[in-house]
Parts: sequence; structure tokens; C-alpha cells
Amino acid sequence: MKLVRFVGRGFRNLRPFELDTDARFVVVTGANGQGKTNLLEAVWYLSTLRPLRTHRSRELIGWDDEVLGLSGWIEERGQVHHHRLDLSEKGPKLQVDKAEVRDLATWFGGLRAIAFTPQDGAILTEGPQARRAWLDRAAFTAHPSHLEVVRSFGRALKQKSTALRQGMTDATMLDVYDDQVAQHGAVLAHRRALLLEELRPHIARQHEAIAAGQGELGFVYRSAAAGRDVAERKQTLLASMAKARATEIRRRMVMVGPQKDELVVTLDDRAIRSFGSRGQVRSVVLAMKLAELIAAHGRGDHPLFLLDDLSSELDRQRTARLVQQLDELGSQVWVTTTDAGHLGRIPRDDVRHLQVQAGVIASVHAPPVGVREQG
Amino acid sequence: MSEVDPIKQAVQHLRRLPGVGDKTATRLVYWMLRAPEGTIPELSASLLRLAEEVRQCSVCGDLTGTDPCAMCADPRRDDALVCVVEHPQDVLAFERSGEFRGRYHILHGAISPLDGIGPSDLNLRSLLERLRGGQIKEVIIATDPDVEGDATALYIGRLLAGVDVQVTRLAHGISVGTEIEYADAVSLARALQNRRPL
Repeated sequence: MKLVRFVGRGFRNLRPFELDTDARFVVVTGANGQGKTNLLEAVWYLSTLRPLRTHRSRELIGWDDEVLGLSGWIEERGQVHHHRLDLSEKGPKLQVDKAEVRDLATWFGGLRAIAFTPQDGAILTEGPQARRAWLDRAAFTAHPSHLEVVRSFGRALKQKSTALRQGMTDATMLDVYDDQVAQHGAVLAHRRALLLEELRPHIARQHEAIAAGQGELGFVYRSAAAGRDVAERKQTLLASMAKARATEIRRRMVMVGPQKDELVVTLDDRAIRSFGSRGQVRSVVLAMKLAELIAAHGRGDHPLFLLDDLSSELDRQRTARLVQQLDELGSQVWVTTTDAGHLGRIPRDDVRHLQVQAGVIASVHAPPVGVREQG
Repeated sequence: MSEVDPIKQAVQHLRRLPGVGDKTATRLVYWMLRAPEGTIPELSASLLRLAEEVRQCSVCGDLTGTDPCAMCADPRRDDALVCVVEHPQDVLAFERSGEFRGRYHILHGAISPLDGIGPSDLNLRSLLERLRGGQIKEVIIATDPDVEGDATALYIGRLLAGVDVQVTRLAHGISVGTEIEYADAVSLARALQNRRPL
């Protein structure tokens, strides 16, 4: 999968752009604060309809603009599809090959991407919610239908918690909500667990390559829905819900369910969340993201890999090794950096160099000389 | 004489209708003003009848001008089968299929605490009354395939657990005309769950 042409306007500080990006590597250079990451975020937004760094899409629309428009031509298996997104106050309007998109699965099936940014350390350092969100995001990249699982579970949970808050005591009705939350929750937990099993060996291998000798990584998904399959997980949930029923009614809130699940990440048996250094955290997260990419390749899927501000993450030697590895994998890679020289040997014939200055993106023929780290 | 310009007032009322904006409302008003004599009084009269004469059928809950409604009064329909739907429009959808010859029961919504709708807000009591008659052999629950529709179906299923009647849920799957390759993942998953022997 490759984003071969990318057109946009009204996206953050970026001036309207029309880019030929038909290459395996797209290297975006520029000094800090010029808009490199905004370009990467535009690709991410076209793929996921989610901002990379803010929670509200509205904030993506540039100060002087009313609407944001992004258009991408995506090449996969010899076919090119055109995805177009227009975001205004009224919300997003989506088109695939000029036809309005009614079913989001059509959209998400088109352009898939995995991103690694300097802020991603938060996945390991923040609360359990951040790790659940990563698991769900990764499961979604792997199987877009995961979105529906997350949504149905969230909706059932919200209905149950509203019913409890309103003081519902009707046992039949509460049984119904327990059943629904347990059913969707069991599917959700099972999919998360399966994905983690798939990623685990890849994460270990990548971590060893990035940070040899840093220690042994451990990943344990602690779920309220324990079990070997969906049916067993549902039974576990139903049993703990039955036990919690009286408390839930008294406290008017939901007490059990996979909404409280935790993914515990350890380094030599110590919780990385409490003991990990900044550097350790980053290399683990990078290993997690690379594992997603490698697992995708194993499934015959080739999502884009977006790397923000790589130079701040790794030393030259490791960066060069990473670039070589990404080259072998064959995904389209988008990298932002203040210093293209940092990237090592990028295959010359299959790279586009873009330079961003004050929101203006220019295509350049070779890595620009003189753009070095500027603080 | 009213203070507000009658044209503006009519436009304001019409644009409250679903799918009607300012432009369409204005166009409709000018069309009516130019329409043959009698159009507006006839339209007003028919709208007034909606308000005055339409009520819920005391048997199935459908909106009707006669009680019981034509569907419930029709002797040719199968009394043993009742299809439970959320909205009156759903009845029309089933009727278009021409496949169903039983009777209907309209709930007027689905259970959703988020929207302040509980079981007692639905047209359920009359369903239980109908079942007491003993003629009904099967209740087909045809609520929407979303969280609220599923909750409603599960609730009715539990409610009818003690009643001697077969309760079924409408199958969900791939829509006709869709090639498997292009079916969305959720529909495909549902279709797999609801597969049946050949």
C-alpha cells in the first residue's frame, strides 16, 4: 500500500499542497515548528479520521480556513483508489472514488497506517486507558471490524451505567444489560488477547534489536473477562457481574467489566510504568509499533509507517539499522526529521524529499544540505 | 389579521419537517400559492384529520384512523404469527417484501436509558394481553440490529420465557445483491453467527 499522491488545504499551518509521493520513503525535513509533523498528521488523519496530537478534529482546521480538505490516491495491488475528506463545522464528508461513503468500514479499509511519535511514550507511562487504547488501535489496524466491537461494547456499557445511575432495579432489565456487556466485553477482551499473542514475539525481537541488553520484556493482559475463548470469557464476566449486582445497584454504577482491564508491561519483572526510564519507555514503544507493522506483513497487509521526529529517538547507528529494516519490509515509510543525514542509507531511487518551511511544502531532489538540528 | 407575514409563517412551519431546509420550504410554499384552487384547503383538511383522527390501534399499536387498524381487522392474515417491530415504518418495509402474512406489534421505540426510554415506555403490555388469547404460536422479534434493538429483543425474550410461545429473532446477515468480497465485516460476522445447515 502506498499513498502515491497527496493533496490538501486548510490543515493546521500548512499552505495548500499537491504532492507526488509515489516512493517507498517520503522524507520530510525542516526546522522545528515549521509544520513537518502537521504533514504527517494529515496522512494519519486521512487514514484514521483521528488527530494525532489533539482530541478534537475541529482544531485541525487552519486558523484562516473554513474547511479542511484532504485527498489521497492510494495504490494497493495495482489499483489506485481516491479517498477524499472534507471537514467543516458540520463534520466530515467522505468520498471514495467520488462516491459518498456511508459505511466507515469502506473508508478504513482503504488507507491503513501505524504511527510512532515522540509523545507515544504516554502509552506506557499514563493510566491503563492509554494501553487499552493502544491495543484497540492496533487491533483496529489489523482488523477494521474491531471498531464495531469497541463501539458496541461502549454503547452497551453506557446504557447499563445510565440505567444504574437512574436507579434502575428491574432485575430482568439488569440481566439484559449484563448479558450485553458480557457478550460484547468477551469478544473485545478475546480480540485484544489474540492480538497481543500475535504481537508478543515480534515485540520481543524488535526490542532486542533496538535496545539489546536492556532487559526482558513482559506483557500481561489482565482482563476481568478471563477465559480461553469468547464463551468462557462471557461466563467469567457474567459470574462476577452476578456477584457485583447488589453493590452496583447500591452505588448506582458499573463495578466490573473489561473497561477496567490492564495491560501490564514489565522490564525484568518490574513495571515499566513506574520504573522505566524515558529511553527505556521509548524503545519499548517503538518495538510495539514495529511489531504491529511486522505482524501486518505476516497477514499480507502493508500499512504505511509514519515516524515523527526520528532523530530525537535513536542514535545514528540504530536509526540506520531501523531504516534498513523498514526498507526490507517494503511498507511506505514517512519520516520527519530535522536532519536527513541522520537516516543512513535510504535507497536513492525510491525516495521523495519534502522540505517544510513556514507551512510551505516543497519537493526537493536531494536531502537538503544545511538543515541540521536547530534546537 | 395576524402580525406575522403568512408566507414567512408557513415557511417556518414547513422547515421543521425532516429533510426540509429553508430553500425547500420556500419552494413548497410558492408552489402551493400557485397551485389550483382548493389545493391548500384540501391539504390543511387532511393534515387536520391526522391530528384529530389518527391514534394507536388498541391491538397492535400501529397508527391508524380506524380501531382496530385494517391490518388487525384483516381476516386473511395468520393469527399464529406476530412480528414485533420498533416503528410503524418497519411494518411498511415488511409489507413491501410481501413475504410475511402474519400480524404485527409496534413497540414505538427501543429500550434506551440514554434516551430515557425504559420497558414501561414501550407498547409491551398489550403484547402480553394478545398472547393471553392463546392463538399466537410464534413471536418474531424484528427490532433493529443495534445495541438498543438487541437489548429490547433480549428483554422481550426474557419477558416471554414463561409464556407458551416460540420466540425468534430476525436473522441478520449479508444484504442481497452484495458480493461477499464487498460485504462489510460486521454483517459478515453476523451472517456467520447465524448460519444454518444446507
